[in-house]
Amino acid sequence: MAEAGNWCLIESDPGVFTELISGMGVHGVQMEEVWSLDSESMERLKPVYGLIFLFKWQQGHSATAEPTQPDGGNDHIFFAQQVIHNACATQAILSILLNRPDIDLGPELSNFKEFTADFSPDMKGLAISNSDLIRSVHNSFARSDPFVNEMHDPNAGKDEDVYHFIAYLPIHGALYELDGLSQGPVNLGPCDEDHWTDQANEAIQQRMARYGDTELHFSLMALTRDRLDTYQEQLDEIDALMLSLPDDAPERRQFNSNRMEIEHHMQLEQEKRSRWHRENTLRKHNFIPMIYQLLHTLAEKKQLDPLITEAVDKGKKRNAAKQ
Amino acid sequence: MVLNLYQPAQRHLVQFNAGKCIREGNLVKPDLRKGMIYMDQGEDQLMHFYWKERNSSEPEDNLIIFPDEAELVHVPECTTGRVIVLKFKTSSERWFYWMQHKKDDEDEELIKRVNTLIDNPSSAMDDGAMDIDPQNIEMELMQRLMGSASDGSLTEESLMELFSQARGHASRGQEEATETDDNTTTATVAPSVTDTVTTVADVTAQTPEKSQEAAVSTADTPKQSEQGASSAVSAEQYQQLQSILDSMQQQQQGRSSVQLNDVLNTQVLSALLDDPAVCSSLYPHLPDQTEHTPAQLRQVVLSPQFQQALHGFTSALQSGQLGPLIQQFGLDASSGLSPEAFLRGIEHKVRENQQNASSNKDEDHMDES
Repeated sequence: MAEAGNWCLIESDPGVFTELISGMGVHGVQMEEVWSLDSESMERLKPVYGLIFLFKWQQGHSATAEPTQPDGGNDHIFFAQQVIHNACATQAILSILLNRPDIDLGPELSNFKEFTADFSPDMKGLAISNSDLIRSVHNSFARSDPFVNEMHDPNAGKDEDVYHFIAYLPIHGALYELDGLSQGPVNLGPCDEDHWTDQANEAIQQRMARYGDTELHFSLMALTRDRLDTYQEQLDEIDALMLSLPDDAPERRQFNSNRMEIEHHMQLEQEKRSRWHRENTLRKHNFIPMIYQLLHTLAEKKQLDPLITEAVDKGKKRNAAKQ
Repeated sequence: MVLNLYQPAQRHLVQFNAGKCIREGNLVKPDLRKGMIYMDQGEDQLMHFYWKERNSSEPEDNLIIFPDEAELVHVPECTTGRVIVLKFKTSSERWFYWMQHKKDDEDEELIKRVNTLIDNPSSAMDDGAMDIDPQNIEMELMQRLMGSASDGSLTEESLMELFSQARGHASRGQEEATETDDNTTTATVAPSVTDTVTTVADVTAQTPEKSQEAAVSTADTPKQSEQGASSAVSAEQYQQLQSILDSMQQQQQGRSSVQLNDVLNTQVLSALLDDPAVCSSLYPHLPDQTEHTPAQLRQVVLSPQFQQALHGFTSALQSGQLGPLIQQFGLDASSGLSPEAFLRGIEHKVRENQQNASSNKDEDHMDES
């Protein structure tokens, strides 16, 4: 089997993940950062395909397996063991995408799902790390110059912290916890499509309680249907209803007000997408020529030399402070 | 510093006994002190040419030389001694030295070595380490060394222990050279200076007690009789070892860790962007869909993504592997060895261009007169 290529560390950002997902050929899905798993927040985001709980170990915690034992006989679930550390976010996303038949995966991921259906968890993990498509889309969100990335990951070895991504989603009427660092998926009990997020909320709270005190930084993301699609559907529904109403019907007022509210949400969502797109463009842009030009200009203006001296000084002070 | 603890001497990229010369008008007279020329890569990753008195630890002359900037040549006009001069191509700087090593058969090679190091600093990686023949280092030893380096359990003590074991198998080299140096401390130097001709002192040969070896010789390596070919270590592994040692050394030296973000900080960037000419020069480097306006430029340059790009580039430069990439900018590969080398490389290039431009102007004026 060919050696797995290099996987870069990418930012855990909903804008990055949303574009990553569509980059792999998936349609109609987005990632959303959530601050609370209460029913009201979740209601607004429906339909929620899955949740990702991201936490960051500080030094001192051991990343050992969780006490809950995985079940056997989970062949109908796509569960992959985490092989590459830097790929953990992408892997968690895949574990939701590949377990939801109601998502349009596009041709490549559909093929991938079929191809790996009978693989064991570690083989599935290897298959992910060997997938050129997945890896190249993933890496496209790393630092500016791909040539630079190939040679050196700026974060390698720097951070003692470890990121950990765990996915939660309903599969065949039960809530599952999919953790790439575990042996297999964990069944958290039966649930239904409408209320599973409440149960997931409980499970996550319990997990956080286990870790006790302050050394835990976490965030939550929800994989949902593309909100713009949802809003558009809602608008279409209202329009359809209004068609059948007479012009002077009192209900029109309410419908119009609803309509305006939805349009407002749509606009906010559009603005957010523009912002995400802009940020991703900057992330993917090779800034090295610009950096060089800036430095060259400083040198021409005879300003570079003193800045170098200052920077050398600062560097030495930083080193001294470390020791 | 790791290698300093290991007696006898530090290993430099090249070193040989040489004395300084003092210039008095048109005359070049010998400085009679016993000295040494040596070259190393500094903390800034740039090539340094040093002269020091042999029993001193600090160099008296310390020159940073960029590739193609200077050349060491023999001075044939001086017939009474072996005089060499470091000639700078971009200026009229000349640094004269005279060979103090008894035999002259290594002179050519040493001069060549100096010039190679000046023009091609990456050759430092290969040859500089060749005192130790990788073939003679036990495979197990190498793996232990590399294993403990990567899991962080490598301490200075264990490193020295492993290294001296490795040296035990290795060729004669540095040790011999230093002993040779000691032998020449009793040499007598008979200067013969005349008024009208530039001459340098004559080094009187003296009989050594053992056979002489120059500082950078690689003598025949005694092969371990039990070592089969399978336990030999590849040159690549050896280089990996060398770079682990180098980086440990650098960490201990408190490497300056210059950050590009400190040079291109918010204040500097803001001030630069006030100049419309600067903005114009930057528009071609903006991402495709961005408008070419100063406001947009400002937004981009002050964005977290740009900051991250600076950090990433700094780290990549710290890896010392960006030589080929840097050459795309018309800089020498040596500028890819560290963030500081990169910055100084740009400074150097611009200064050179400006000097050339002004000297061309002078020539033009002269033609017109």
